[in-house]
Amino acid sequence: MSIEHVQEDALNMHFDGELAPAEAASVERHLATCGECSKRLNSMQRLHEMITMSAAQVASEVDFDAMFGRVEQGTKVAPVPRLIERIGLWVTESLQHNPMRVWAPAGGLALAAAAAVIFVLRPSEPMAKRGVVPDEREPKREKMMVAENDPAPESNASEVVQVDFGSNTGTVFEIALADGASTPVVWINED
Amino acid sequence: MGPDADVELVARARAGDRAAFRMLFDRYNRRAFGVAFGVVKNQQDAADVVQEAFIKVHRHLDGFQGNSSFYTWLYRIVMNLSIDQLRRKKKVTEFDETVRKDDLADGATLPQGAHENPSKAIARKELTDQLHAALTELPEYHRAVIVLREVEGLSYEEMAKILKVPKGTIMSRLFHARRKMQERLVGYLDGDLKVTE
Repeated sequence: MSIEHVQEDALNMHFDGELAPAEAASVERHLATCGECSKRLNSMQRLHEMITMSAAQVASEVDFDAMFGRVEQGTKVAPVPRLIERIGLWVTESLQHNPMRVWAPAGGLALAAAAAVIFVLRPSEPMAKRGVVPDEREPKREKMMVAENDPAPESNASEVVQVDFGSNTGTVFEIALADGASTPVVWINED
Repeated sequence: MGPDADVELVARARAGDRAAFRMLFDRYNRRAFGVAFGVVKNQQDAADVVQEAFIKVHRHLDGFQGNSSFYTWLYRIVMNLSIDQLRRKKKVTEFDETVRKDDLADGATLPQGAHENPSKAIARKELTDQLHAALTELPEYHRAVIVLREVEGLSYEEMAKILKVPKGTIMSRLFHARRKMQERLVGYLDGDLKVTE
């Protein structure tokens, strides 16, 4: 007649106290009569004792009082400050010891900021005033206007004609390109 | 004292009570060391881990919500630092191996050897060497569960929380780890060699 031994999982759980009471009681009844399963359980107990004994031995060598002293020292070290705090600290120290380290880059930054503000807030100007070549549709319209007011130029001279746009006056240039083609540029007077 | 007392100590330490922080340190330093040593297998490294863990605990006391117990929180920090330490050490394996052998040769893991009879000291040293060798052969995730269970006596549920894996995974790892240790130490687990006091 074969004996049904306790499964490995159940024996481990029993050893760790993780079985439900009814299952634990069943395992206990089996262990009382089965030397083989009892031996397996004793082996677990022995391993447990070896590990705890070894851990206790090693821990007994450690000077935990001295360790606590180092922990306290570690807790007194200020954590790494944030970037804005580091900049503030650098500025404060530099102003005390070497003010030029602060004022020179600060002056440069102020100039750069002023230039950026002037660039952004300058009055808007017509695109052509800045010498921008209009897109393909615009030149055609300007060309037509030129044609209505004056005959086409006879040469490759840059200034083609003065134009009255209604609220503004301006000049249309026909620029000769290297490949023999030409492209118009419109200049509109401010007033 | 249980988790309720820990919560009170944490609250006092958070308010700057040095004695309360010292009580938390005294209560858990050896257990934390046991966990760290089980993973890193080097006394100095384990001490460094525990020291760093308590510094972290102190710095983050404000962040401790009390949703988990203090020791679950501490051991999670210890375990993470131990694994980090182990990975850093793996980059200098040859050096680490030399130091470990030197430590063993000096009897550094056997402090009681000088006060006990020679045969018992030899038996203890042999047992300790074999145990460390068996632990070293385990993958770190097996070593972690066996240390948390055997040294700390944590439940499967607690280990699952600390290691952030399902309870079934904890059981599987623990049973495999035990079986490997038993196979490796079969000659020392049959009860013939008596080394406990």
